[in-house]
Amino acid sequence: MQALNYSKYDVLTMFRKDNGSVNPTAAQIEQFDTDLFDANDDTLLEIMGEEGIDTRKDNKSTVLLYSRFGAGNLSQRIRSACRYFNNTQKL
Amino acid sequence: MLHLQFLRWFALICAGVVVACPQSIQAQSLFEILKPSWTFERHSYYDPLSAEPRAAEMKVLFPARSSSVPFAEHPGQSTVWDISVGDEIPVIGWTRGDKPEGEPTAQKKFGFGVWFPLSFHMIEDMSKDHSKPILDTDYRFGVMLKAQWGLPSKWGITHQSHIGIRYVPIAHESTHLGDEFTLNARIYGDAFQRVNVSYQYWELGGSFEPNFFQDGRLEAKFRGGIMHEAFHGGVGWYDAELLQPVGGTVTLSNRNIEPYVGAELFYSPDPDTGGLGPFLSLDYRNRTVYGYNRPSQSTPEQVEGSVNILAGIRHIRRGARITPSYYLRYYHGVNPAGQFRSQSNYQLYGFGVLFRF
Repeated sequence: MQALNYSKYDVLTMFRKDNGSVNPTAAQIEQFDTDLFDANDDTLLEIMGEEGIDTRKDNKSTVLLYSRFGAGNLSQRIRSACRYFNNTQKL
Repeated sequence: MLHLQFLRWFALICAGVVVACPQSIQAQSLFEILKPSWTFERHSYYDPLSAEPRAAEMKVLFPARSSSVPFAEHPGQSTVWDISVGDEIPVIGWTRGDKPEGEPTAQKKFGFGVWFPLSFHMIEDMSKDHSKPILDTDYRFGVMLKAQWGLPSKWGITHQSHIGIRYVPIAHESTHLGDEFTLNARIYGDAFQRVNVSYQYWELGGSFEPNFFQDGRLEAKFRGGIMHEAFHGGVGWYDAELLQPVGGTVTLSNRNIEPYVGAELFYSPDPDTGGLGPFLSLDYRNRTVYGYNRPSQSTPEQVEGSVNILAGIRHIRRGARITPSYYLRYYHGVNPAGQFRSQSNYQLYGFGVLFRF
């Protein structure tokens, strides 16, 4: 598999939730990762910056994963995911 | 025929958009391109406005007050309940990019899908007439095509905005007076006319859905479109031959088009906690007042602007499958129920709940 934009197991988790396939190909995962990047990354960078979160690959991946379970539009879900991320760092 | 021409253009445009994605075409076979992106999944392409009066949704208006209808047993306002039961069932769709269920298309991506709208609309007199008669029930079903384009995540002062179109190439509406209402109307003798309002139609609408302020929490929807009676051989909204009295006739309709505009604003609650968010929804239609007893079919009917306003709160709960909206509704204009569309200056207001799934 080529290098992904987000952490592999976070991408696999999101793929499992959205697609349900138990036997994806590497190409499908890579395409899914690319789709995630195109749809979410600029909003992730903006809101993670506003919430004071380092925009490293692992942080972006975790926040993106959290955002898949929120309510509201993309920005609202990412904002909420950032706050969840920050609030759970020291648990 | 205009709608058939549009259907051809619509198919060509959809095909053109798919073909205009060279990277994807290089990367995927034709089979993969044509393979549906989703089937029987909810996707938020052109969801109906809360104020759309005959949307395929679950709405209960109770208690409510209504103007008296033609051939009611007693004059004066009555307490009613007005319910809509239905759904726009998502059948199949194609899109590119990230497509989590329940969401609109991703930024800079195009989505297209087929829906099966099916709904029932009933109004019942709960107060003034004998045996609390159901006044009218309307049934609707059809085929609905929706297409949506996700504008860039930040587009001017908006966030995650979308434009879209909704095209109903064919749908049917059948309307029926309540049986007890019909029995009560015997007091009018042969003056009571039971009209068979039953027709096919096509509909075309456009949508702009921008979101404003931080994180796009002020969600706006602007709509406009037309509905056109069709596929009825020039007959119109209803048959000339009356169901009652047997052998009686009425004048066929002349104006078979109804344009409309609508808008909705919703301020989303804090995404961390969910909660209640206020909304205001407006639908305005230039409706035809059915003229059953005009001198001839070429005689134009009256038209009347008909407004439906809903103001209330929507309860957003993270992870919940049902989103209720509680509202006050005010409707004024042509009676929207079945053969009562011959009644202008009709008024209906009350408290209601809309359930979205």
